Amino acid sequence: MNVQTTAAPHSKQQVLDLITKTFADRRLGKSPRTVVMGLPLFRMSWESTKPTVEHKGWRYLTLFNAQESFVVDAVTSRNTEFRFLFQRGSGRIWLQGLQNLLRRRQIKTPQFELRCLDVPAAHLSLLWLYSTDAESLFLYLHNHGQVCRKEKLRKLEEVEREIEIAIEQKLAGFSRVRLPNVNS
Amino acid sequence: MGFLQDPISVEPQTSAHPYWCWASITAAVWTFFEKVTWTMPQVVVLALQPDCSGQFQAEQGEHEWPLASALSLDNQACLNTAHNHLASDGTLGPVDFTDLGTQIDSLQSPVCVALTFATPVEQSTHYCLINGVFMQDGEPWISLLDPAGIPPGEQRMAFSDLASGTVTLESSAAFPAAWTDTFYTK
Repeated sequence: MNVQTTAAPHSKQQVLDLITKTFADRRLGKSPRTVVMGLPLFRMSWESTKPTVEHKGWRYLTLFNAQESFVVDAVTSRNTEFRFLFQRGSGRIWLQGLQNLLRRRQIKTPQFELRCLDVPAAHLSLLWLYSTDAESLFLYLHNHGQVCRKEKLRKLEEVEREIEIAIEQKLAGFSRVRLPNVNS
Repeated sequence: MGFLQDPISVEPQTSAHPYWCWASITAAVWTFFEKVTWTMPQVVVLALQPDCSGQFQAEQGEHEWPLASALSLDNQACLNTAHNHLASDGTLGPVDFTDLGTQIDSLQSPVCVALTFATPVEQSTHYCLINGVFMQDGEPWISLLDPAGIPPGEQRMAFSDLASGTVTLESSAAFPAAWTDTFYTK
């Protein structure tokens, strides 16, 4: 598959240092084999009824010695410096998803850029194959804390429709109990 | 500043139970205080069954529910004060970092939070649990357990980022939800 990644603004060592400091675990810094991969991070949200996809920063997928894994989001907030959000355990899921994606032979051309897409309101995350010349393709990574396995690649309209249905179901559930504050 | 000393974890909601963040958080809190493992279906049955007859199946409760009701088990049919682990009335709104520190570090009690997301039609709220507070580079930080996160669902962020979407659901906020309510536990 013809894919590329855009250069991320933080070095591998910077990311590893951030994780080691935040989790106060010096063993992580001494791990002999580590993987760090930085991908552009996008979020889907709704300003009104229209979905908006916004570039929020960078997502670093990290695996320490095939044991511990983390995701570090470097988010640009209000045009200030990067803010960092850490998730323990999920780096492995993203890296495995990427590996599965890259094994698929059916996408030969054109050049794709790898991106991460989060839909926080629906608790969904996807890998995004973005192209300026062809249709974007998406792979579901996780859904409400559950890892998505053997998912097919989807087109944007399909993803948007599924997310819309998921949100509608959620809101239908909310109205069923008619609570002032509802949860998901 | 520190973490809960006894272990606490959240059960993932999974796509099969997309509304059960309240049950996951309640099960975590009950397990933490009672030292007996509670699961999401067990919590759902106790919190929702209309007559406490044992006939109610967890699948019948596949919907959202207020966390305060579940944490305190205020279901009149199954009222059991032994499961009342709510120490606040659920109307605290966002609290300051010192108060979080008092609850978690001094009282060794998890703090549950309601996070609100914007959706195409209306807002929806998701429950998580704070299990740690600490300082990093002179800035207050928190550790958050999220039932919709990949296990173990542990996230760490600056306190200011959790609070960044408090007033509105600004898309420019670092954390993608607004912190709208807080629940102390006992």
